[in-house]
Amino acid sequence: MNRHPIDDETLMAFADGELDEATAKKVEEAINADETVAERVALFAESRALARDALEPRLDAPVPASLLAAVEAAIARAKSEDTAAREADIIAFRQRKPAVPPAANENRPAFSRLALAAACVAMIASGVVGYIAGGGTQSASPSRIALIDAPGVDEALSNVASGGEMELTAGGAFRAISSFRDETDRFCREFELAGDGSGYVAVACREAGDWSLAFAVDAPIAEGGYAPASSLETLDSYLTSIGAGQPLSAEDEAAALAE
Amino acid sequence: MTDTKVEIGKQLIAFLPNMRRFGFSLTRSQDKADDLVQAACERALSRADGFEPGTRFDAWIFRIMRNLWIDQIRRNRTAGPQDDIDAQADLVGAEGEREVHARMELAEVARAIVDLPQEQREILVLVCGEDMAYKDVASLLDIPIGTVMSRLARARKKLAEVAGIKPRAGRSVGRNDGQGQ
Repeated sequence: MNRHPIDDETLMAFADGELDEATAKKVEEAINADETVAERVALFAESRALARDALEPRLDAPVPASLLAAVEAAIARAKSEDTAAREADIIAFRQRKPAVPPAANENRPAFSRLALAAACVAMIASGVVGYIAGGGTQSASPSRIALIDAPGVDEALSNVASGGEMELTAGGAFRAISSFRDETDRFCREFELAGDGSGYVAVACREAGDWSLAFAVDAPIAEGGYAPASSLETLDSYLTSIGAGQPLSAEDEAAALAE
Repeated sequence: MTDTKVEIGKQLIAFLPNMRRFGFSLTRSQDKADDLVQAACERALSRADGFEPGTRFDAWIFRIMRNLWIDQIRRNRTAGPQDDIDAQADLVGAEGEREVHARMELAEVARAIVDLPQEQREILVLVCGEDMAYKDVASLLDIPIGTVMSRLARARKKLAEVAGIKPRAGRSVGRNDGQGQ
């Protein structure tokens, strides 16, 4: 009977339902012929149940709120990074046309020149680092760096202190958020443009006295309020990528504006 | 691409309890397990393209966890695994007042699982806890299926012994697969 003893692994595999039919049949025969084989199989069946039951409480243990929050934050971050990355490789800014549907433009004529960003996120190219959100090619108005070209934006960038606002002649409002220097020591400003419930959070940098738009993200700005957090996360990623320094103090900003 | 990440994010959230448990089987510390789970989620999201739809999500994320853990051990050999065996016992002990005997036995088994060599413990959790097939575990761990089986059999015999389940003496026939434990 024990001339060809069946090893533990095979009996365990039998208990686990892992054997092919032919081998399983042999084990069945051995079980019928030898009680001790049956006991050995039972040991593996019971030990599986025991292990499962002993491991079960760890599955029922509540997930700590801190872990859940961290994972959810990672997911949100991955989504926004992904959006930015996906849009990075497509379109050079000067070649693209605005993605905002014509109907939307009609509702906010004053912002038609500004309405260059896609519905979700737009990062606008200027110089080396150049991103633009893309997709739609519907609108008629060809846009260069329309945002910066909007009448009054240049002037506002050069004059409005952070925290201050200025009505643009083309309509809409300019709001200066902060000033900083990037890693190449360019003087840069974060600002918002708002009008008709839509708007942009943007960064422009000054070089040889001229302002160029470095970044913009479409931000449906709430009434009287500032851009929503999702836009700001994208902005943060951008600021990190250009090595943005701490916001300048009011004095330093005034001095830089006066240069 | 974003859709993939959204989908993976959902699966990660739903799978957190299993990840924490597998993490504990690797680290023997729930705090370390949670750190590992978080790191694995971040890795999974950044490598979402590496997941092929239609393949096993559990095997994919467990493999990520395991690789991270191995990296961590390599980087930091001096800090040995911290056990929180007491927490393990508390968890089991908190189950309720009934079936005191069965509960105590389960607590002993849980303790015995913690005391298993890690290479046996992770396989035990994957097969008996996660119901993974031997071949899936073998592929997850990059070891031969025979090694999975011999480690698993050894672990199960140990648990049976702790729980007082014994076959008649002298009948156990082991297999030597040359892979150690």
